[in-house]
Amino acid sequence: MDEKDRHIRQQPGDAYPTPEVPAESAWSGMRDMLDQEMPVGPSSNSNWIKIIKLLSALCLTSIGLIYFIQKKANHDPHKGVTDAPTTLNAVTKLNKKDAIVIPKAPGIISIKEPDTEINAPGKKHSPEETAHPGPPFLVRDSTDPGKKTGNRNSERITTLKMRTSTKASPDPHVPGQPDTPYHSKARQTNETTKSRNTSDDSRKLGLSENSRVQNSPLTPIVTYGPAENNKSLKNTIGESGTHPIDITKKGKITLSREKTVTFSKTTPADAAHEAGPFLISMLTSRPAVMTHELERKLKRLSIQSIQTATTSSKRPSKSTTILNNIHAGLLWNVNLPFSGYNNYFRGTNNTTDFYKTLIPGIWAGKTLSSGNEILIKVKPYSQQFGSNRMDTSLTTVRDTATYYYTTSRGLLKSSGFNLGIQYNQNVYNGLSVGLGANLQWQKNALLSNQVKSSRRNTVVDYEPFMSLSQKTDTSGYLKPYFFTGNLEVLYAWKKVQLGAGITVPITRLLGRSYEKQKPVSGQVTVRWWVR
Amino acid sequence: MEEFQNILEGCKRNERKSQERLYYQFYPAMFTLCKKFFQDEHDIQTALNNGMMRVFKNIGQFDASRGSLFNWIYTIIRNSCLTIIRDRKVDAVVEYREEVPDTAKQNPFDGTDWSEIFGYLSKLPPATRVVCSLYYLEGFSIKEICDDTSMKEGTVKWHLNESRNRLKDIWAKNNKI
Repeated sequence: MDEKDRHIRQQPGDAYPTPEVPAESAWSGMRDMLDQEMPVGPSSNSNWIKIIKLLSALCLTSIGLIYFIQKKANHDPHKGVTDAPTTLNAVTKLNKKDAIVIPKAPGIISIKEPDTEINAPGKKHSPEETAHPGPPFLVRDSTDPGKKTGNRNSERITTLKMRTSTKASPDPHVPGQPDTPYHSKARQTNETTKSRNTSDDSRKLGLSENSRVQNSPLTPIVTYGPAENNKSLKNTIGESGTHPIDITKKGKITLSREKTVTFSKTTPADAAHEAGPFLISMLTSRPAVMTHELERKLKRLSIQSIQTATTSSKRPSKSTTILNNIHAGLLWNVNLPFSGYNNYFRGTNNTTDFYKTLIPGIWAGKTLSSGNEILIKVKPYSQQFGSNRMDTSLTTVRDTATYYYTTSRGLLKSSGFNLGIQYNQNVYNGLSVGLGANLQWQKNALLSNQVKSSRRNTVVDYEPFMSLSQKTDTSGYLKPYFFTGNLEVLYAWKKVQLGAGITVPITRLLGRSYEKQKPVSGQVTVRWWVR
Repeated sequence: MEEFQNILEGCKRNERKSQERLYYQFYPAMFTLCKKFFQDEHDIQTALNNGMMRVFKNIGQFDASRGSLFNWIYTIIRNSCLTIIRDRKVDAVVEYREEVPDTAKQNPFDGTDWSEIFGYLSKLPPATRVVCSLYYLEGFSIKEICDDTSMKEGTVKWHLNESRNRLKDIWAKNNKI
C-alpha cells in the first residue's frame, strides 16, 4: 500500500468535477451487484411482516379464548329449575292482541314469563299476581339439550317463584313451595341436566330426559296467569282461576269473546313423529345455511338467535349477541396447480414436507339472510404455484471486461400466510357459491435458476430447485405479498362443507419480473363447523 | 472520525446503509480517477463498481495503520481499471516503434482544471489515454506501466510520444516541450 501511495495524486478533500453519471444511478447498479454477490439477511419489510403476524396471532388467540369461555359457560353447573331439562334455540314472539297459537314444534314447549315484573322493587302483588307474574310469553323450543343460554336468568326466575309463591294458592303445580314435590323434582331435574351435560350422546339423552320430565306429573312445563300489562288476559285468566294452567296437553284458553289462546303441547316422541328425523336433526344441530329450511318447515316460527330468548329478564350486550351469531371452525384449503404436480410435495426449502399441506386454517363467519354467509379465513400455510416457465426477462447483468452473465429464474411455487374474506351465496339447500378475496404473504419460494454467460451463450450454472426466502431476497424478486381472488362451489353436508373452485392471482407474484405471472390454480376446500 | 469508523464497521457487517454512505463519500473522486482511463461512461461505471465490489468484499482486510482508507480504495479502483484495460488488450492496437524516445517525466497537467484535463484526454485514442494518464497523472514509471498494462516498453514510449504530439497545445501552453 505504501509503495503505491506515491502514485496517488488525488486527495479526498480535492474539488472534483460533478460526475456525468449521478451517484444515485451508480449506487443502484452497485446495490444490484451487492445483492447478487453479498446478499444481506433481514429485509427492510421484515418488521412489518412481524407486526402482521403478531396481530394475526392475537386474533387467533382471541377467537380461541372467546370460544373457550363460551363453551365453559355452556357447562355452568348452576342450572335453573325451569330450564333445567330444556335448551332453547328457537323463539317465537307472540302478538298479544291476536289469538296466541303455539305452533307444534318438536320438543318441549314451555310458556313462562320473564322476571321483569317480579323484580320490580316495592311493587306489591296480589297472591294471584305473585304466583303468576307477568308475560310477554315466550315459546321455547327445547329440543337441543347440547346448547345453552338463559341458565342464569332461569335460575333467577326460579328463585323468585320459590320465594313469592308462599302466598299463592297451594297448588302442586306452582313452583316455589319449599317442600313440595316440585322442588324436589326441580333438584332432580337439575341433577339430570348435569349428567346429561357429561353425556357423550347428549342429543339422544337430552330427548329422553325431556320425555321423562314430560311424563312426570310434576312437569315444569307450566303456563302461568295473565300478563301484568295485558289486562284483558289477566282479567280473563283471573276469572277462570288463579291456578297455573298445565299445557302438557292441547288446550284452549278463552280470553274474551274475540280472543282465544290456543296452545298445544307435544311430547318429544310426538314431535319427532310429526316433524320427522330430518327436522329434529335440523333443530338440534342446524347449521346456519339450513336455517331457511327450518323456517320453511316451521312456517310460524321465526328462527332467531338464542340470545333473543335470554332478553326476557336481562338484555345481553350487543357485542355478546354479535359474538354468539358468529360461527367458526377449521378449514383445509389446498391449491391444485394446472402446471403439473411434480413439485406439489416439495417444500419451498427444497425438502419434502407434505405434512405442511395438512396444516389447517381457521374461519369465522356470520350467517346472513337466506343462508348466505360472510366469512373470514386465516391460513398459516398456503401454497401458490407458478407457471414453471423460465422468466428470461429477469436478467441480472454482471459486467466484466469482456462478457457478462444473465440470470434467469422460473417460479415453481411460493408459500406463506394467507388471510381472506369470502361471501357465500346459498343457491339451493346446502349448495352455495362462494366468491372471495385473499391476501397472501410470500415467505418462501421454490425456483429454478439458470446463469448464462454471454461468451458463446453457454449455461454456466443451473439449479432446478433453488430455495429463496423473503428475508434473503434483497433483489426484490419476490413481492412481499399479493392478492388473489377465488371462486368456488360449496356443498354443506352435516357439519362439513366441501368446495371446489379456482384461485386467480389479481396482482403479480414477482417483483422484478417483466412477465406478469398470474398463474391460475384449482382449489379444494373442506370446512368444518366447530360452532 | 467516529462516524467514519461506524461506516467502516457497518461495511464489515455487510450493512447496505453503511456501504451506501461509503460509496457516496468517495464517488466523485473515484469517478474522476476512472475517467482518466476511459471515455465511455459505461466503462467508467463498470470499473468503479467492480473496484468498489472488491472494496466491500475485502473491507475486513483494511489496516488503517498502513495507510488511509482513501488511498486504499483509490488503489483498488485504479487496479480495477487496469484489469479492464488488460482484458481489452485486443482493442488497444498500437504501433510498435523502437525509435520512440523517452519523454521527460514532467506533468503537463499541473495546475490544470479537471474539465480541461478531461478535454485534452478526450482527444487521445484509448490506449494512448491510458498510458498518458498513468505516466503524467498517476506518476507511474514506464516499467510500471509495462507491468500493469502488459505493454512492451517501446509501445509505452510510443504512446507517450503520441500523446505529446496530440497535446501540443497544452505542452506549448505550459512550456513543457
